[in-house]
Amino acid sequence: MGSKTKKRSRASKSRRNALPIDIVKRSLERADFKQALKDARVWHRQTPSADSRSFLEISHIGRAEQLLKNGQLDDARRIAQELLDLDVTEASVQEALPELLLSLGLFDRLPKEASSFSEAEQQRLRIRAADQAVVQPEHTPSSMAELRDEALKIRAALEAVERSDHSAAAKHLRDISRHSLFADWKFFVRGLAAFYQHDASGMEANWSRLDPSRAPAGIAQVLKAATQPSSLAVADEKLKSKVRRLESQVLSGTVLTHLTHLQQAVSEQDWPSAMKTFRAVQRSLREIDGNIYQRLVRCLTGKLVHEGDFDTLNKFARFVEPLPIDPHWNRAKAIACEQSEFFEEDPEVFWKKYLDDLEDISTLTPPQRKLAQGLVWFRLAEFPMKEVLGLRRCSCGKDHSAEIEANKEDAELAFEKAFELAPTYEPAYSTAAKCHLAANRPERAAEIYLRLLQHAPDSLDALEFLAQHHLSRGEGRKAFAYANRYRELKPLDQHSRKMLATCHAEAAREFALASNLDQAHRELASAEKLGVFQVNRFNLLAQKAVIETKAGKLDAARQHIADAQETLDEATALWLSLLIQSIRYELPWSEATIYEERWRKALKRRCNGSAAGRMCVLMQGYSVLHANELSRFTPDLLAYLRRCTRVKWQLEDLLHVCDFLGDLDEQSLLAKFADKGTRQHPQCATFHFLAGSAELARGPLKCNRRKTKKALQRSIDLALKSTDSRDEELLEMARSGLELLESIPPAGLVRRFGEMENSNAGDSRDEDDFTIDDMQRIIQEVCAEVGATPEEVLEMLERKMGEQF
Amino acid sequence: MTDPYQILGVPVDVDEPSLRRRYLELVREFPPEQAPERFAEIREAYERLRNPVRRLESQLFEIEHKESLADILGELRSQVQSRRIPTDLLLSFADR
Repeated sequence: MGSKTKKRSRASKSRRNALPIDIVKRSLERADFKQALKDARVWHRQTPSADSRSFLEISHIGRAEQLLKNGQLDDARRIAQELLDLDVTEASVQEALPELLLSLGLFDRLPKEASSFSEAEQQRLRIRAADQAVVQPEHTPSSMAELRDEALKIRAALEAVERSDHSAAAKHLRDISRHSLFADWKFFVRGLAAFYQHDASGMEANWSRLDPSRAPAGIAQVLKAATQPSSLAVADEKLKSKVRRLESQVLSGTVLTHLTHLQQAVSEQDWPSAMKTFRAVQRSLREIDGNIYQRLVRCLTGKLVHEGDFDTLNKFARFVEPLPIDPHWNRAKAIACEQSEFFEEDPEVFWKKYLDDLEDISTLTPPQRKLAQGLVWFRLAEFPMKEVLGLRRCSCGKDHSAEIEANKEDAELAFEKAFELAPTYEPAYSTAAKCHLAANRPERAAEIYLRLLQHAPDSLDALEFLAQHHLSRGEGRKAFAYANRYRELKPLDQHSRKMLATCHAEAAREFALASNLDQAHRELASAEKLGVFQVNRFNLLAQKAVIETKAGKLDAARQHIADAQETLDEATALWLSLLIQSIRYELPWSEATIYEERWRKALKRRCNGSAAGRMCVLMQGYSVLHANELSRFTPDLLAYLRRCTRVKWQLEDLLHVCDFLGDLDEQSLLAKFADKGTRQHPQCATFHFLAGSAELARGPLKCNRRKTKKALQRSIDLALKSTDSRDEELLEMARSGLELLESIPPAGLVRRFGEMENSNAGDSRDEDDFTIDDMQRIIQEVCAEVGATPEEVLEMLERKMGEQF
Repeated sequence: MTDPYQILGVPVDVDEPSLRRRYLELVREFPPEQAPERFAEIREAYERLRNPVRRLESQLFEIEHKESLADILGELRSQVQSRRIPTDLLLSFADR
């Protein structure tokens, strides 16, 4: 005998042995009303009793309700009719019967004896009938015909709202009073009109008045859940199912539900689920609104690219239509590779493929395509550039010159392509020029900017660079054309005036050396007219004095010197200026010697902050061109500065001194002056930065980490609040300094662990014999040595171990 | 700087007249004397997009439109809200 037959045989054996009441009860408990009814009929036919009748009625009503729920109205009516023919006696059935008959449109068949309801029950039934009259007017009991007219008004109002005819809707609702059974429906229709008009307050004002147990509230709940994700999130399954049905009908697909899943999957970084969901919904979404589809693609692409998730992006690209700007996804892949921490794929490969894609992109015009290709070539140039930088900094000890040269060539080729395709793209030129400057090839940098000027004659960067380039070579007349054009473009800019004044001053020197002293005077007069020499007027007067000396007009020269002395509280800086100008203007050495002697004598006097500042500016400014001639004066100036121990410094003077010392790489003296600056001018970010940098310059392992960190952080805090443009550059450098410090473990720790490893080799103790006490002792020693906290040390250790493993 | 398209609330294929119109609307809403930071942000975004080279740079090299999924979904829901639902369908949701 098979197993199914065995089961049936066991079941029928158990039924044969069970009492009829138990059989029916069991079916009712399982909600198998069909079987319950069948068994109850058999039982009542065979052995009619009060119990059998009771259960027969219960089975009838259960079955009828079940059929109604399943939409089998005719069958439900037939069972209900059978029940009515039985004459209902069971209390629970009597209670449920009116509701059932109302739903089936058989309310008028309700037995008279069953209609002795309480007032509350009657009201409930009237409300129920009102709702039914709107929803299924054909089921309105004839005994409640008065409901039909108002229900039809509600329906008419709903249809008017559907047509966006709000005035017609209002007209239909006008006669429905606040106390009417249809008042809820009135609020619902008004709320629905507000819903369609995106009037949230209007919608809420009406729908918040709905009775939650009635039909209008149920419909409103579905609409809210469909448009408010917070409502849907807490909805039960029945409501969610209605929302899906609504979506299917209105949007031709359950797009909203899918997109809610997508949003959740993305927020949880569950990309496989997100991809699956998007794949399921993308066609429907494209049909509903192509623009929203594209935005969604952009959004998801952006997230994947930003996270550097190349693999998921690759999978995404297989089934999603690409954006017009990126027809084969090469651009997105290139950026994803760049963003990826692991850099498994080479972004250059994808950028080069993208160059080919750009030939045919329809959303760009032909000139735009060319420009775009130029921009991509510039991007490609950055890779070998970064490689060169990395190789130059490499401390592995190997010779990387061949690789560096190869990368430089690649970068130059890429830059050339960028210049060819995007000839006015300034960043390409300035980056290429910076590369040449970094490689100590200023002439090549100047050539690059000259090329830029051919295509962009008003490029401020190019004009400024070329002006400064020629000035640094003492070629004031060559610099003049660029500085003058720069000033024409930026007439109010202080920097443009200074640059032009410097060109005139330098041109004056050139003319003087060519014995064209009249023209030299005129140049100096032009420089003076620009009004930038108010602060260092003595320097201009020194130049005039020297020119007069060259012309043999000693009285005039002496007058200029006297005028210059009037502008200063003491003349130390003036003598240095005269000395420098004598050298620059190639006066006889005897003249220069006079000024040198006076200067050295003045240096022995009491130190003065303003004099120190001025002298530093002079030396720093003129050393660019006259390094050889002026370098012998540097030790004397440094000695003077070392003596400036009790000076109360003006801010600008101290900044000039620090600048000068920084140029000379005099770190220990710079550190002292920077410390002075932090005490005398604590709100100036530069001094804190210099103090931190000077400490860091001792080496990241040797420096006092706490002191360095504190100084750099203070400089950042001050720079963020500052309006001085110099502080912007400082901000970036300070942050880099902090990052460097954070990336390196304390020296003591490195050394100690090195000792442990070394001692392990010859030590009979096992690694595991190093106890917690040993560790604690080592950490304490390191903290004391380098000024770090135990937490900082442990963090570094953790990072170091992470790198190792 | 965050996405200039998002700051100005314009699509990536916005044309010059629409861009300018939107910029002027925002400047009226956030004038420099009342909202200096916002104004500066709007100005920078506008300068970026009106300059064809900078705009092309944005299109090529910036991470795509950083619109949130929530914003896009919100718009789609808003679309659903605008569509008129047939009365019979609406009433079919009445069973509680």
